[in-house]
Amino acid sequence: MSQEDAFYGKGSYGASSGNSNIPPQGFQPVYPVAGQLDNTAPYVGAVAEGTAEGIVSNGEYAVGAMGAAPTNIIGSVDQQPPVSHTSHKSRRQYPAEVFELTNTLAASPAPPSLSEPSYVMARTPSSSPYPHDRAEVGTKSLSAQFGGMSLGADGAAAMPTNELVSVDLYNQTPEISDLTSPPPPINLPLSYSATGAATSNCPPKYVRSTINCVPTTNSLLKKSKIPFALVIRPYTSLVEEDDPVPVVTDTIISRCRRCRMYINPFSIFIDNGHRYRCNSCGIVNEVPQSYDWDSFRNVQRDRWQRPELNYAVVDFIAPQEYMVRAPQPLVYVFLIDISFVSISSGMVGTASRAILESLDRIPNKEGRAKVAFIGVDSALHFFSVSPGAEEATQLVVSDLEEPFLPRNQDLLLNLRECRQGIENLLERFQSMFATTRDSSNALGPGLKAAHRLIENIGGKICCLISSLPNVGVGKLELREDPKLLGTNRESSLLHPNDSFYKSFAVECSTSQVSVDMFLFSSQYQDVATLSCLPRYTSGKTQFYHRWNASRSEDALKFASELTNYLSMEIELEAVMRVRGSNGLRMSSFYGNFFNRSSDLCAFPSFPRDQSYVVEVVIEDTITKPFVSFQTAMLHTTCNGERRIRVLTISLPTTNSMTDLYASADQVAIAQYLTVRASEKALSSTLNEARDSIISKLVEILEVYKKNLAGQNTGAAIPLQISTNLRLLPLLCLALTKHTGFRRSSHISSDLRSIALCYLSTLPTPLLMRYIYPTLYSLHDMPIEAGTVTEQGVVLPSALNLTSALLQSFGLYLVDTHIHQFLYIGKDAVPQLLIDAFGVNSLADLKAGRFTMPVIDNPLNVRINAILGKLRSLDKGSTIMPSLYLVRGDGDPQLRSWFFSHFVEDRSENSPSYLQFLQTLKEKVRD
Amino acid sequence: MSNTLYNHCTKLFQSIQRSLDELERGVQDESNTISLAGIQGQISASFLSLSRSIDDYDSMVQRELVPAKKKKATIRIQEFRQKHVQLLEKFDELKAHVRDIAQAKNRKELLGRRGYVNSLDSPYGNSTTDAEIVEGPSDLSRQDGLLKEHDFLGRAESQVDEFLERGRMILGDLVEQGSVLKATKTKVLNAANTLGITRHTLSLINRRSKQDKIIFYCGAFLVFVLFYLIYRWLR
Repeated sequence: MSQEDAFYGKGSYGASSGNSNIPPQGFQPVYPVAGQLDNTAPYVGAVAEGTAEGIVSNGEYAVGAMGAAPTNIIGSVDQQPPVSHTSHKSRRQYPAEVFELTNTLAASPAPPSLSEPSYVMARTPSSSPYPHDRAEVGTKSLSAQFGGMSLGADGAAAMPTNELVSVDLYNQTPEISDLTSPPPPINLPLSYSATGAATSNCPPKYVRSTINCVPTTNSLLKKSKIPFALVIRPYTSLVEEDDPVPVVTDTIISRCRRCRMYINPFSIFIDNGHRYRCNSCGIVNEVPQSYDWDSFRNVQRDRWQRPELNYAVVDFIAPQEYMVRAPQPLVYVFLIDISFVSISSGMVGTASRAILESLDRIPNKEGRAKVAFIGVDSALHFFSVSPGAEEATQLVVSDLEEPFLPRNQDLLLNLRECRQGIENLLERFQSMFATTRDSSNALGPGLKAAHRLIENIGGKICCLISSLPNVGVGKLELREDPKLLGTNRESSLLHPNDSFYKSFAVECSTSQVSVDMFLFSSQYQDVATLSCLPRYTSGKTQFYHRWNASRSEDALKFASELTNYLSMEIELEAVMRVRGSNGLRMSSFYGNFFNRSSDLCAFPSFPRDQSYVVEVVIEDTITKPFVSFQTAMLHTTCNGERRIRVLTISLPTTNSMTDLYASADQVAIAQYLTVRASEKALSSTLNEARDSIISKLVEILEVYKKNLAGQNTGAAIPLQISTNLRLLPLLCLALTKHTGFRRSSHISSDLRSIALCYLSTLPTPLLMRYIYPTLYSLHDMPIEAGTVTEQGVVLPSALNLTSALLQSFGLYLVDTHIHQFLYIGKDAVPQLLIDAFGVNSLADLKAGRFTMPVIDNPLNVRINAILGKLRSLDKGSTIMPSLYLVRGDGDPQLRSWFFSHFVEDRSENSPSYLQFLQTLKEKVRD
Repeated sequence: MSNTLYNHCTKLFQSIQRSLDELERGVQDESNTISLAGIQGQISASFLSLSRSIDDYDSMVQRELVPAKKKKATIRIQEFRQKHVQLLEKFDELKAHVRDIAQAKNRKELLGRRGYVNSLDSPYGNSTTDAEIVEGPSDLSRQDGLLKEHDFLGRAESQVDEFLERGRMILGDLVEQGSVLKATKTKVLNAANTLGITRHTLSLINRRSKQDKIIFYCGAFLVFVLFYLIYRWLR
């Protein structure tokens, strides 16, 4: 009798110890190890008795139905019949619930079979004799029973949440290290995933949500005024090997038959693993029959090791059903402006040489890549190379009204077969046109001809343009007017000037043609109109302001970026779709693509250096403890393989605004505000774009003040925000002072247009540096800065962007990811100049475009190491920043540009940070 | 692969040498100056590719396992880097020549009253409002004194700005309190006024209802009298 009492007492203790870990909805609980041990001990003691009855009970319990063993145990003690009846009845109701709600327990009650031991061994890697396996299974079932019985008693147990801490914005200097800190953690227990792998949820570098805790109702989201959006970056490196993701190679793809979401780590397996419940819409789906079979090695495989159940980011190799045609080869058509301006600035020579040197870096493992070259001036110059030929033939088409292809074949050159001809062509491309005096640029007809050349295949048109198109369709006028800058009519200069570029973009997107623009300007280039093509065909616009190849820095920057661009492993003929759980709908999409239907984004080619923002709307009340978002991108790799990249992120839900604000991500919110303001600047006016940023910030501060801040205790009301959002006002101020949105009458429309292009496409880490540049002090940096450790080069600490920190004798570095500035104060001592630059006085340093000299001095070596580190901080960028030297006593224009990056200072039309906070305080008070 | 990279570097060296020779001929021949920038760009692009190829070759040599091959390749890399530096120096000399020629040409054009082009690539290239007067080096004691006064005035100005800011904040708070008090007074007066209006309205209502009663009863009496007369008259 005492033995039996001890057994029941231990059981109660196990159940109670499990209370704190049980999630409210009864998903698989995680028991403490001590609890499990306590549960195991008395049972082992019973076995140790060695009596015949004990052995028989053990056997029956292990192999029998769920309710049989307890009945036997109770019967053996001759307790009161009503009590045993009640226990028996309550236990009988529990198994169905276990089946419905948990993954691993669904397999436990199954009778032993061939698959059972392998399953158990998979869950518990240590091998053990068979009876011990049975005992373990029984123990788990028993623990689950006790855990399940205590569900009703402890339904209010909550998941851990992020804590809300308020800060007064006035009383502290902005902590800019928060810009590179991780976002608020997603407090979703790993027990919600099928395997509990740490990689089950999406890391922030791929998908980042503005709120890491989703409100259950739309009214709560509207009341909070925080935007709900996802920042999606499907690729984080230019080359796959720099950031590989797991690949599912057996082409077995299981999707929900209703919402079409791919199976993912948060799918719920039921019915002994034969079926699974979709974590999005809740419907039950069949698991494919061959899911557990490895057809490559012809053996049984462990399901729980499949990558799509362990990793939130996977690549599926697509089966035949996902192809509508043979995989597309990689095709580049180079449209090169060969007018007088291009020749004299050196663009043609530099481009042809850079392409020549990059031919080996173009991804061409299968030998299917093709290139074509079209020269554009007042006529179209095609170049034909027969396979195996060593020389190219030039064909000139001067009819611009109806441009036609002068030859049906041999204009699109296979890179491997026509290699010698291509090399000879590129060698002599510059000298072929060295004597030209033609100032015309027929870009429109050239684009039409290039599109006709590849419209049956698809590919990339790479335009290298140095002058304004002025002949044929799509010609542009010089509409830049300095009198319009800084006024309300400046916005008209940011709108496209010709409808050809928009309609042509639709044609290109339909035939899987993507257009990239490399614009070199010595005067007005109308970036606002020409950037339409890349925007709608998922391309990219690069702008080289006042570019000339006689400056080595200009030539190196362009050659480096073109080489990175050509060696990037782009994806072809891609479509992307973002799916959400029930009750969630994707409402707006921001980025460079073409919206084919309401939620399908079409990419003729998918670059690896951009990111996209998707806005989410809550349509119905959410009843589940977490929601999932899945980004699926069906594409063809540049090696001719059809794949699907799937990124799955799951976020917990809440009905508390405190949790909502405590889980908000200021960096993602800033990115959402940036891309929305960029779109507003292009569709309406710059003033509306700036106002949209400030008004959203004011709304957030208002809600925080009314609902979440402490009670007002005095007349002076502090301006408060939570700790995780404390840099949001600074980011909004920096955004309104950015080149793209700044209220100024000195910024030309071309520079504004290219800034808006960058703002709407840069990935999150680069965008933050572009909005709020990083300031380093180099003359007094710590001794370990610039040295190489196992983590790479050590960077000094970033400083706040206020000129109060600048010393007149110091050396500073500002990095905006597009430009880098070295600022040397006018009182710098000669020793600093000798150590850093190898010159004796400040007068020997030439301000402007600068190449850091390489001398044998520790300070110089460290500065060069820091510059190199900053250039390669992100493997997913093709941009090489331009380095400028600014002297404290130098060019006022250069100094003005440099100090415009100090966003915490007051400038001609914008307030300082403290003044901005004062303005916010007055607006919030209303 | 190692031989491929070696051959690639060798080809690049030959290409750069050819381009440098072409640039040198272009510098001598002043009639064809429009293509000099292109040749310079070509050379810069080739140097970039050469640097990358040498780095690739170097990283590959680090992984070489045969010591003899590794030593031979290391010697080759040193030769490549040395040659790279020499070619860079020659390129710099030629660029200096090109710059001198361009400056001479620009001087002629300037004397010939040609237009001036601002080549600065700053977005604020036309800005003059933010310009500061460039200060020369100060050696005289008088200038030292002026500089000290300048610093002192700057500090004083910043302090005065700080005082103004604080005063502005205090004034804002006081104005806010004043407006709150005014609102309170207005509310109190409104409440009192409302009470007065209420009493007046109730009096009017009572008086009106009394009049209505009188009118009603008179009307009823009149109606019944008329009914009686009609009955007597028509019977």
